[in-house]
Amino acid sequence: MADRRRFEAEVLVHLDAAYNLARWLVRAPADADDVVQDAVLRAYRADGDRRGADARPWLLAIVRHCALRHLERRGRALRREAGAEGEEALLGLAAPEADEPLAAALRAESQGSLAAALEALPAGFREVLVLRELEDLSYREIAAVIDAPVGTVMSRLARARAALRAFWQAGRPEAGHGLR
Amino acid sequence: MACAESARLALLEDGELAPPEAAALERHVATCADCRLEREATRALRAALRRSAERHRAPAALRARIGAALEAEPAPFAATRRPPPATAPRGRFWAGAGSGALAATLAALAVALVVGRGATPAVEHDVVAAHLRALLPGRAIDVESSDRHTVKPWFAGHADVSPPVVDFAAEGFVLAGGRIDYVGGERASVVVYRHGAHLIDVFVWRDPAARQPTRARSENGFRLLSWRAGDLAFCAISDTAEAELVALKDLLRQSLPGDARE
Repeated sequence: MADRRRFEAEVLVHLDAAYNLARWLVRAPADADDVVQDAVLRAYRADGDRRGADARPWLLAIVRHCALRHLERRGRALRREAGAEGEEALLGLAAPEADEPLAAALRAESQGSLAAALEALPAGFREVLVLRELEDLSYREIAAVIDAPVGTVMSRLARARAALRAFWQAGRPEAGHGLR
Repeated sequence: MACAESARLALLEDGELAPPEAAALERHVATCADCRLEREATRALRAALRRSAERHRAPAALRARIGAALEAEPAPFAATRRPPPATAPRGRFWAGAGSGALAATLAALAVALVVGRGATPAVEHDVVAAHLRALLPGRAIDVESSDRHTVKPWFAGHADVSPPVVDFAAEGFVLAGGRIDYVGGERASVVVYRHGAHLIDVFVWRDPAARQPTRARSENGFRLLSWRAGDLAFCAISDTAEAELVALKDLLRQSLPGDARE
């Protein structure tokens, strides 16, 4: 039981962070609940193998993993109904490094608010922004969560921010003065 | 957008520059109009984003649900890490120590597996339990791919042990993917194959101490085949025939470099 208490003190205290990431990744509250519960139980079973690793990025990596699996499964069901485009539109993960005009896509999909634009970003960009801006993780911690090099974190952050900024400034031209 | 320094402003604003670098860049920004505007825009976007995008908090109902689920969960490492009784041969007869955790797991699965049979090594119990868990819908595979160049690096990034990952589709064993699981308190890499309608899990973990000859067993309708290569222990499990597991074992052996085969 000491293990349970330690798990609660070191890992479960990050439940809000876990839930926030899950919500932004899978969007639907009920799905986020399931993803987080699954992730926390996996984390509990694996806690003995954490070996002193910082608990928050460690837990968030498990949450992310469960969330992406959830999206993949749902994508598969969706694809059966709607053809392959359904999955790609849902995940947007097919080519997070490809240079498609993100900002244009945001203008088409979002309802005008920055939150809606963030939600419309492909998951690979959305997750780095959520981890940086809402969870205040360092580049190194984000790299641990998404299992990618720090350089990838930096380039994804830069492109995600550029897209949001272009979207935002298009919506409020008076703020665009002198910005470019 | 002229100034080359502006590319590093995001690092400055994210607190990712070392203090001397940060101070130098601050001095530059103080004298550079481009960079000042760029920094204002960066800060404005961040502030607007944080105002607009909610940081969701875990609902109380979810907290309660998780608390109850943890209550029902056996304390995993407390049970599996308990050393075997001093008088028993290594790895045998201590299923009793783990059977509490195991029983809870299996009861939760509503699987009528008889636990605690003296001669069944605990590790093979774990393999059976893990395989049963994996057969639950949606749980079999963490990385799903028939491409070894996807599966192999995934293991490198997630597992303690980097197992041999080869697609034997030509021989009837199609690589389906991989996952991580736990046997005897060790993290095992599991390479998943499809063989006709059957799923075969190949558990691989590091175990330099034990010297275990190849052995085949049958438990609760599953065939298990255990063998070793170098300091890696292998255990293949499936509901397919034993001969198929032997064939897969031979293929895996041949795929290893010569000095690691035995």
